[in-house]
Amino acid sequence: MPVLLVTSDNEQFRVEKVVAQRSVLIKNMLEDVGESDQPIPLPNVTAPVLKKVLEYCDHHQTDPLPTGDEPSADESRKRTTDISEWDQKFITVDQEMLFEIILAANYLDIKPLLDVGCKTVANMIKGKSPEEIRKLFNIVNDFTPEEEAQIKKENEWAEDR
Amino acid sequence: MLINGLPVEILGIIFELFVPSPDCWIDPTTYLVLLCSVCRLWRQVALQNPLLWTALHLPMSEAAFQWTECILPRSRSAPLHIFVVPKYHEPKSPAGTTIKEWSSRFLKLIEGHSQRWRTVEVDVPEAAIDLTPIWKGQAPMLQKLVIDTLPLSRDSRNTAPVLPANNHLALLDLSGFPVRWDQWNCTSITNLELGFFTAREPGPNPIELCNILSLLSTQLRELSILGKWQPISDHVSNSTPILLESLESFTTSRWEWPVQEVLLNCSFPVLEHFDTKLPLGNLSIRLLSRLSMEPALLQSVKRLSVKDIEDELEVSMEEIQLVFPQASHVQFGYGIDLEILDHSSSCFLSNWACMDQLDIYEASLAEIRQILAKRYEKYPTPLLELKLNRALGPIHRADYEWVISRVKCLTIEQVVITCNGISESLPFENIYIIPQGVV
Repeated sequence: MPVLLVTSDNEQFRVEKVVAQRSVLIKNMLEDVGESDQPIPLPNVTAPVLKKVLEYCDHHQTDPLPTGDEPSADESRKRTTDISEWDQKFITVDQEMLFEIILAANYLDIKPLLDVGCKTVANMIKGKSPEEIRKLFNIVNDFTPEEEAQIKKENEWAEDR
Repeated sequence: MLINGLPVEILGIIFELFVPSPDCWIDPTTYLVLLCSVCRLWRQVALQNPLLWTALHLPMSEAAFQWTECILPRSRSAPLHIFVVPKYHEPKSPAGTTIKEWSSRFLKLIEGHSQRWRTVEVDVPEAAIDLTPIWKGQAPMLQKLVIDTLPLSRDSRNTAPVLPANNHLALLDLSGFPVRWDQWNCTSITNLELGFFTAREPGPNPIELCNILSLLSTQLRELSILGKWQPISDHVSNSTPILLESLESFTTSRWEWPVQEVLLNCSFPVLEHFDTKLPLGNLSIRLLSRLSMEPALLQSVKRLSVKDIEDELEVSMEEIQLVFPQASHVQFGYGIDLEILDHSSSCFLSNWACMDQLDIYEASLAEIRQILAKRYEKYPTPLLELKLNRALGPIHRADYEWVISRVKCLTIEQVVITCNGISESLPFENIYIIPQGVV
């Protein structure tokens, strides 16, 4: 049975329930309302972003759903930054869209998509200097002179390892 | 939208993915310093996440020691992962302090936090003895203990510490560092690795080894016995075999007496994977007799990983077949440099009758074609699956087509192309096999 999703900019998307339910948020909403034709409002997601998110959900519709038995917090970092080939192509978007997808995945509670987005950003940082990272992400160096001094000291300690 | 517009929890996740996992051997210092040097927000997010600061590596300079002192409080109450593994093995570091002195200072700094020790890896002999909190049972959350040391000039049999009862210790890897095997009471281990032992640093004797396996019989999933153990011991026979009911994987080198003792005294209902060198070694008459009387002993082994093959394999093929009658999935050359498929390797692969799945780390398709051609003379059933991690280029079209016509599923991960002495690996999907015959 299809489900009707409405974005913040009032666009409607009719998608198969199995695809929409990749989002734990939507799955829970559907369970709460039961069998109903009511559209589901998604006030935090715009149409272009939802379109991308649904593309991901459609491709991964047969993947096993996260069970909640995932590693505990202190073990979660054993995850690698490897991304499958399809996911890599899917997430090759501009920075603005990348961050919007991450936000949407977080809001819609689609953990595997959140992972893909975060891994992509982590991979973008790898091998860069602080200055290169600032330039890449348009970040301002806002350290106070005292903080700069502490950072310099830490850099010296670390360099001597 | 900019990166710093993301919620701090998400920025935190990104940082956790960026910094190497704290229980691996990579020192995360440079990653952490980088994150803390970008802007105030990033520094704040990094400093407020204790999980980023839990890997502590042996400092070997005053500056590095100050860095360790600085990061220890940042880990707050999070589990710690400790690595007493020097970056170099000269007796003295450039500053004139010995490795022993650095490790002693390091352990003093962290011993008050032993309740939080989760991983401890040591390859400094004196430091292994200095792990007093462990030997006194003051590291109750320890899950992984790896001690791989060079021999010390001492009689280890008398000074070896007792491994305390600990409900969390899951992985124990000891090499060259004996504990009191006769006072073993740690029953939670699922992964036991025993490396090299000498007459001065002895491993468990056959009775002790059997007692340990009895204690671990329900939960042990992975067992590794490598290297020669001295002194050589006589066989002890148990009246009833020890049922290693969860053991899935057994890693060995050449089959010395400890491996043969395990095979003589235990049974393995779910053992699926065996990793070994070939030929197996001088199998005792007792073991050969058990294998003849109980052909199902290792019948559950479906996956056989071969580390290395030495010459004169032909004579022992029958023996290997007796040991692993059902090993249909062969993995070849992973983890070591088996650069060429020599005569013995080809002999094994072309004569291993029950093989229907083959993973080879590195070979050319011409070599594989040769092996398969020989094999199909005797066994016409095609291989179901052939996985080649690194195909040595150039790939000749004739070889490629020959192989794909005789294997149901061929997977090639990478192709290694060498040009003017420089080698480069390319994903297979980027390779175009030109009609004339080569890549």
